[in-house]
Amino acid sequence: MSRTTTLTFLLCCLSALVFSQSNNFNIKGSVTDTLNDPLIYATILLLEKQDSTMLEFSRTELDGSFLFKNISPGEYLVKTTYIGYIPTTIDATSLDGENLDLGQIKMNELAEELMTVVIKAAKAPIKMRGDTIEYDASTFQVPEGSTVEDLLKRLPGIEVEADGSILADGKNVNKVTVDGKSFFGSDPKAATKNLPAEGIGKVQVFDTKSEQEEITGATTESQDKTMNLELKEEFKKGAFGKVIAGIGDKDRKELKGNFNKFNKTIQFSMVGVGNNTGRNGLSWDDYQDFMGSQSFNFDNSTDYGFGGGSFYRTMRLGGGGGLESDIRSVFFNDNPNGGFPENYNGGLNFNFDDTKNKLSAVYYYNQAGLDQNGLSERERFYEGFVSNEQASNQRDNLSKAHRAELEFNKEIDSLHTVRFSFNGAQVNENKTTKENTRLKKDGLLTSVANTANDIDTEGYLANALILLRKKFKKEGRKMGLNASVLYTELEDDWTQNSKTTFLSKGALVDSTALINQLNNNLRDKTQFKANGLYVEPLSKRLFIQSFYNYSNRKENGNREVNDDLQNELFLNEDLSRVYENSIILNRFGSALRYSYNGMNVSVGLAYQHFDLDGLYSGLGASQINGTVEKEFINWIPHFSLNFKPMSNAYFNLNFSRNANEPSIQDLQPIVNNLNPQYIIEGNPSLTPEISNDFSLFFNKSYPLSGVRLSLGGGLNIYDNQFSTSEEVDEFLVTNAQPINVDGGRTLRFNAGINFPIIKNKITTRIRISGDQNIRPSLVNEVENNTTTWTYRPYVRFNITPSENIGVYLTARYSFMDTEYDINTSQNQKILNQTYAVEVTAKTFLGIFLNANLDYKRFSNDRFNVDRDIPVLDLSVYKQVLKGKRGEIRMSLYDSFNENLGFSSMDSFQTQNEAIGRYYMLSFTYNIRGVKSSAHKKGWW
Amino acid sequence: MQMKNIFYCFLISILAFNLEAQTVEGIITYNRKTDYISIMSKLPHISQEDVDRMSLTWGNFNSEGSDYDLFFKGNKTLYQRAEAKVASDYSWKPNKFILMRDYASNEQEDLIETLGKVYHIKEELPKTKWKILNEIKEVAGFLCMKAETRNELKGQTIHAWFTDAIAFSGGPEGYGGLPGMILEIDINNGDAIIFASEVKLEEPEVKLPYPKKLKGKKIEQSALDAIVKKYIDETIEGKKNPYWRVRY
Repeated sequence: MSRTTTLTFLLCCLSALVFSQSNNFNIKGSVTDTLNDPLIYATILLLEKQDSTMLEFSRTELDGSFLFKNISPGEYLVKTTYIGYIPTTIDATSLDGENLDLGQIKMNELAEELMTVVIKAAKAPIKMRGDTIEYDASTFQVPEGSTVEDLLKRLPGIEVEADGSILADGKNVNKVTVDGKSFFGSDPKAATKNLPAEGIGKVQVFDTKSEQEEITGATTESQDKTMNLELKEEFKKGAFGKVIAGIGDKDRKELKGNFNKFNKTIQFSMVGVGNNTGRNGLSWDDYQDFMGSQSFNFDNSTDYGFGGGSFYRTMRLGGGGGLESDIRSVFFNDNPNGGFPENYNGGLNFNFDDTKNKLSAVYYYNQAGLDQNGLSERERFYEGFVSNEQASNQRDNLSKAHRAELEFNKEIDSLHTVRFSFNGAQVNENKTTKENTRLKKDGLLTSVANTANDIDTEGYLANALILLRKKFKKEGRKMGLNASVLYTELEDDWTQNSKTTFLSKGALVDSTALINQLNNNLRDKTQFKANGLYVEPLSKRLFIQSFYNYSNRKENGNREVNDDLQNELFLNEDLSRVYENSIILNRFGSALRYSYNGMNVSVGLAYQHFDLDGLYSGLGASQINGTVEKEFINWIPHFSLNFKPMSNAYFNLNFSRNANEPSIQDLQPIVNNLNPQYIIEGNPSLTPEISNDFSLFFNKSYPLSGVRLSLGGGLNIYDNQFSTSEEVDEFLVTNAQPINVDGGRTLRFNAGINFPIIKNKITTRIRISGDQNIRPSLVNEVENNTTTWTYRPYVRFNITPSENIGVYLTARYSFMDTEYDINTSQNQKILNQTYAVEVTAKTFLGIFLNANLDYKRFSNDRFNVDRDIPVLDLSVYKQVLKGKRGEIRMSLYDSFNENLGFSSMDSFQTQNEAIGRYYMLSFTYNIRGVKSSAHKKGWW
Repeated sequence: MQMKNIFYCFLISILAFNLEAQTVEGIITYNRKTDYISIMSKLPHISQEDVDRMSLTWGNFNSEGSDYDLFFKGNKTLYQRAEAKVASDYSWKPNKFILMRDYASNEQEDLIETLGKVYHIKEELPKTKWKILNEIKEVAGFLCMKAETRNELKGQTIHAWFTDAIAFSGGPEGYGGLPGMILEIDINNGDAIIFASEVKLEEPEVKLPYPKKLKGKKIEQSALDAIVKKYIDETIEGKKNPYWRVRY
């Protein structure tokens, strides 16, 4: 301390010495208002003239005087500020070091209008430039389509006469300029009457200088004013889009395009894809470009429960194309390898958002066709024998779906929000299958089935929802209410022809089953749901969240089965069925939640009541009829804990219980022998399946070294798990019934680490996940526990030594070990390996090369599976056209012609004919220019 | 109205004058909002198409920002994250960020959690070079003047709006040294805006809530700046946004 003081003192002496040598000077003056009254305690700033850098500041004394002492010679400004007055700047230059007396500095009051209208009401900053006062006119609200004249009428200090002439501060405005340039000659009215107000950013008014004044710099009191209109920066708007067209051998074609147009409140987009390659190529970017601000639904969950984080955005993605799938889940509907696909997708999206009102309307069409010729093989182990099923099949699927979603959100006031949404869908599907199935028991053929099915499905969906969110005056108290109605209707027309020959001793025909049926199945569902949520804060750290869910689902079905005997139709009374089901759910619960400083704990309990009522009967003279009446009550506890144990770390622990009610079909004691090799009978004594789920998760990152760690685990323990009891007879005909079993559980874990080997050049990700699955089932009255352990190690290297090269290496293993309770000799081990290498390089003349190898190895000792499938895709491409708007690409897919659609899962192998090797020449045109990089984008 | 304004101004001025600058005390609550789209659009690997995509997807997403409190009394200030007024659905733990200033002894003492560590800085307050601009506007009911400086570490132009009606040379985010309290900071023309939402001057007996323990790795500001600079450069080289982790 004392040392610092001494040092400071010495420095002061030194500088004083230096300064005194260079003849320092003082500046004095006094500040008054226009009536010569002193302004006390006004702020005086001493600035460098060159760039307004502040050197010193002080306040005026009681008499309004100020003094800056000991200033080295130079060019300065003195600025005075006082509340309610226009800041004044005066030159205070003294090059020779002579003391300066600035005398009396008179400050002008800020005009009341400027103060109240511009500063207070419009919250617009006022800028002073010499005699000009300028402010942002865009903060003044004028109706859409207004002209500058309309805008000027609202601005303080400006009057617009009946004839359109303008007065500023009572003086005539004789000249209007736009961005400093004269506009339509010298008539100011031309500019103000024609220009739209929307484009105007700032309005500046200053004294008009005559040409002579401009040259000499002399100023006289001017009688006229000039108004300058500064145009706004480019209003936030734009358009972008691209088209990609490709043509290849083997008759392969691809076409894809999208277009976007947007401004601050409106987004409009289109997307369209057509191909017979199965690669829709719709990426995340395309998804975001299409959905815009609707890409991620904020807090879209309407079935309230224990969770309640309104802090995350949900998304439902991946697979699905069923009637109840939404547009988000069908967007990425790529066809997998195998078969011959033909896909057409496309849609339109419109979003309007002015922060208070949000409207979004989206339409999407999705057509997927797939022809497949394939073989499959499955082996199963029973007490005392083994079954083997070999099938060859020919499948021809075509589905078409129209979907439209409309959503409107309105913020009524700061406490109330409403949402209204409507979804509609129409799905049309045709599936034709021809199949030859051979079943063997211990190597001896027991049955051969030839089946031909043709199913036409037509479905409709309508779903309407209304939601209200309310916040209360008491901070933290809030409520959500919503109600929705869902109606779906599905009609199947199914022609089933099959001939099954049962053989004894592998060769002798025992019997033959012939089925020629016409099946019409009409189902509809009406589901009404109402949900409520109420949050009551107890303190800064505690609150109670309570919810109520009501759901009433009514299902009606009418299945009419007709046997076709020599082109004459006979009602099949055993299989035809009419049913009416209703399932009512009442659930309410409460959770006490603690949330403070990154610690979140929730403890809760819910009561759940299911009421199932079913009515079924046969058709015609059938005696089949009956009812199902069931009631189930479950208590559902809940616990969750998460917190930040250290910097950049997160820990989460969860316990929840779920109760799933059995379906009414499974409860009906009726035999369904639609498939003569697999006959199902309902079970009236089924009870809900309870799953107890524990999970924990931890992650930690070290930003400086780029290391990230994560660990996770989970355990699901089931009570009354749904399973099947199967009885297999000598011809391998299975009689199955749904049952409840105990002892099932799933254990899962995962661990991962990411780290750079050389920062930004080589990075690694190592990961392992695994699970143990114990699933009891009943086969021929013997309980069989199948225990499956699966481990999936994974390693990836990203190598990006320079801007022009990117190499990505991946190795992925899946090791599966299945053990059977009975027949342990049939235990099996399966190893599937995938190696992927992707190399992209920018070479001479801006030509890019890309090679993508996907090498799969399947091995299963038990079934003697040992297959290697290397699939190599190559492409060469170059950007062309002005602004790199185009790209020409030549690709060779599946260079080794090895992609045979083979896959091996558990005891099941399939192989489907696939396109194999083909060439494709494609061209891209992108309005914004094609961005090619040797590095993968957004790659962690 | 006009008279009332003037009278009020006089009152404040005289009050301030009589009590001397040092005795001004109070609590100012600031709200900080960060515009990540604007920040990311300045990164070299981001194309116009990426910017459009971000704006389309997230542009209408309104962040509530986060609140900070500036306590000032005597010649000392303390700036830190404001406590939540009520329990929310989910609480995130903010990084430790406490800035303490003593303008009498010209000293700063900061606890800053960044890049996985809590750092403790205690050293002489650096002098900020302010340019005074010719613009005025109202912030939180106070007429403010505009001043400008640069943050060379992050390549930012900082605009501060200060009012001489609160005769205290402090401000949020560690900024100060102007002839009045800073009520708004604008980093790089709207990339981040920290503005006073509530000014409480008549708060009886303001107490600066100094942390009981100053636990953190002792470091000099220049050394921490070097660490942050290295991280920013490396992250931008790796085509990522460094400002998800580093305070903008």
